[in-house]
Amino acid sequence: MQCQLVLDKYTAYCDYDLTVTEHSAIENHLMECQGCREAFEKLGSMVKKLNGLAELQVSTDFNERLLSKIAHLGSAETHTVWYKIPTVRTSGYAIAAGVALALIFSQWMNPSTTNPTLQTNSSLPVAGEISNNPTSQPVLAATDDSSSTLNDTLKMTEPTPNFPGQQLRLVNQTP
Amino acid sequence: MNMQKQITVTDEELIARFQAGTEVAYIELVNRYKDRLLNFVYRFVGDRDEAEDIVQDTFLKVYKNRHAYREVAKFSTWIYTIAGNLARSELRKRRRHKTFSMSQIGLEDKEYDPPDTDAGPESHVSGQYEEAEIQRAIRQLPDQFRTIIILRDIQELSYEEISKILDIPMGTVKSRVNRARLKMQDLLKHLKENG
Repeated sequence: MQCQLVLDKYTAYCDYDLTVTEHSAIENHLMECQGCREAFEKLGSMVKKLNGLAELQVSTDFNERLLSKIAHLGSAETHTVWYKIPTVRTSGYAIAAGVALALIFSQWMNPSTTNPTLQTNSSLPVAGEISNNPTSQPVLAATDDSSSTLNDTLKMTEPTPNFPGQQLRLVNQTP
Repeated sequence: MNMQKQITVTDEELIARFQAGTEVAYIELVNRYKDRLLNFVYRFVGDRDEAEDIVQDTFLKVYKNRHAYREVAKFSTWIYTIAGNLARSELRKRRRHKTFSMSQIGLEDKEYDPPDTDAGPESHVSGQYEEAEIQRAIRQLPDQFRTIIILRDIQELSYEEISKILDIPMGTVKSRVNRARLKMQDLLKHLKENG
């Protein structure tokens, strides 16, 4: 019997998991082969060492920390679980779809409302006037409330289609 | 009498009680498995604190997914599978990090053995060098051999249980145990020669 074949059967030999013939063949080989005998001894000693490795124990506050995590888990689940309910989620999708349809329908019925009312909170440190044609009505104006720049607004004052002669004017509302 | 009754309650009965809402049963399962799992995971990742975190995550998963357990499998099989998966994913994460770090200095092909900053309990007992070397050898084993050697030779689980945990045929488990032992012995050759 070849040495490698014997080594390959080491575990099966120890577990008595071989046929009688195989078992005796290995025993006979071990009687004759010192190398395999030593290898088997070393393997046996290593397995014994692995069996007897120092046992670790968890730290004393292990359960406490775990239960604290579970407590937090409970509150997180309470906060998030509602949207996981299929009926709630489906209702949400239905409502969103309804709102979207209503918006599309209302725009289709009354296209004039689609003209933008443009607003911005941009800071306008200096009030001034920009005009292409001083005689025509202002269409786009910016107001500057110098008391609070956050209230500055830029808006379309007339919801009419744009004309080439429209004006853009900055209006300072400071008293 | 009451003590006797407590001892004879099986893991499967405990998880069933926990599924029915008895949290005390969960605590009992934690007490039964926390040290066993710590040893299992520690041999896997080689860091005590990290191992304890993984064991905590394992019990959290058991808590959250208690209703996923079915009595077709032993509870031990189930919980070892969870812990093993978490430990493996931790190792994968580390390996990715390692590849990145080593690629910075062009040594990605070299076997990298990070310095063990947490020597674990071995530093406090006699034969600490030998135990440290064994731990080092375990960590050098390929994943499939490492798991097998931990489950069989350190945790001393049955072949049948290992087969269920790893979802591989029993014959494969047995042959892998043998190959893992031979590989392990090869890695510890210097140790044997020295002592």
